Amino acid sequence: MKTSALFPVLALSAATALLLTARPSPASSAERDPHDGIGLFLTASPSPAPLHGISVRLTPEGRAVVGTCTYEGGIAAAGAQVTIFAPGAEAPHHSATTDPAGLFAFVPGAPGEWRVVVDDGLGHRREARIQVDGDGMPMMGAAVAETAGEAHEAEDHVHDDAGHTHDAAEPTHAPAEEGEHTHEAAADVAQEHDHGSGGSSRPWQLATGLSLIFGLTGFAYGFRARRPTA
Amino acid sequence: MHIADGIIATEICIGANVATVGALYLAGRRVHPDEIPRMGFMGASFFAVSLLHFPLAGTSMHLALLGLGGILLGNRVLPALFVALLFQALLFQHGGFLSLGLNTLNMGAGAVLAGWIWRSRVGGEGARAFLAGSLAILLPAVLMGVEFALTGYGRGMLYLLSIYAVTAGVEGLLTAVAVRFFRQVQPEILQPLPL
Repeated sequence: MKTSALFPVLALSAATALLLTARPSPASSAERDPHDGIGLFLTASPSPAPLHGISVRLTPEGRAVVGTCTYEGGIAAAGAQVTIFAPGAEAPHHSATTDPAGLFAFVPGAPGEWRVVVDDGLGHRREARIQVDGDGMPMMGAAVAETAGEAHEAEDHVHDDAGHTHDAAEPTHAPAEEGEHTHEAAADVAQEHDHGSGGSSRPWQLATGLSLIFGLTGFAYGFRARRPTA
Repeated sequence: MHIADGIIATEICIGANVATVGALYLAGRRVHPDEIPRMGFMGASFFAVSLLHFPLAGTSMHLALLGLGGILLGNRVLPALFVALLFQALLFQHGGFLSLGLNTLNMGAGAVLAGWIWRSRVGGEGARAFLAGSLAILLPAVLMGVEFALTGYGRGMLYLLSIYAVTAGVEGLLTAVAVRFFRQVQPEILQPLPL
């Protein structure tokens, strides 16, 4: 390809990337993920199902919390180290290890937000939180999974397993908001979105990333070509 | 191979980010415009190939094409790798932002080593490509082991190397096959780029 034709082709990729990041969410407006489209790029907010890293889903089972740890594609994260923190505590409450199916469980003893950190010892680390009410019951639909480096986002938003956000200022209303969902329905919704990482599907993210890279290449080539080379 | 945020001490990450800025400048200051498309395509390959993952010993491993990147780009692989890692962190949460420099240096060291092995012209092409592809994975694994040890994290160097040895073997084979393919269809692309 002639070098003179390369610049506009690659610059067109940048425009494509912008269009891809601005596409509307395929979900209904009631379930629109604000992190889809341009928000996904500009806010750099985490999707609930990271590529390749560990995905952690905390599910209330009576008084217990069952954690399911998997990699992309449903591969069980077996033998991963689980560290559990009580509400407001800096030191670990206790530790556990995921079984060959990537499962672990614990019974939270105090009300508040319990924090779970799962680490496989290979540089993959994932943090998740779950609210426990005054009766010691974990709250349905209030499980939060986030990456370790973006904990500050939990101050403003609470993400559930399906990638939808709720206002964290009203955590006590979470059970009422999810009241119409049965536990199985919530799990089904989470399962349905888990493989697609929330609102944005993996193919769209891939296309976006490739377009951005090609677009950057085009701009870099254009600027570099205008400068006299040594 | 991608280290997430919150694992390595912040001081080490910040130092690595500063070192990465310098490394990117050194690697990219003499880039010729004609080399940029190759860097772009290799960066896109780095970005896309991480989607190919497979289960291994209770964890999940993925390909990286670091050896091939080092052979085709030499030192120019660093900017391409940095861009790919940036967008992987941004779009896929694969690796962290604070640890972006550390990941770039770890994997970039492996890719640059592969480029040096290729330039050495020692031994047959196939064996050289396999060695370059394998060491491009093992060196980052060793560096990760050292960094984990400094932070008191992980299960030890032996565990890390045993996991990455399998990936290194697969990458070595892929690199050798790719080099053989390029030798047949476009041999000029295998000429090392100027330092």
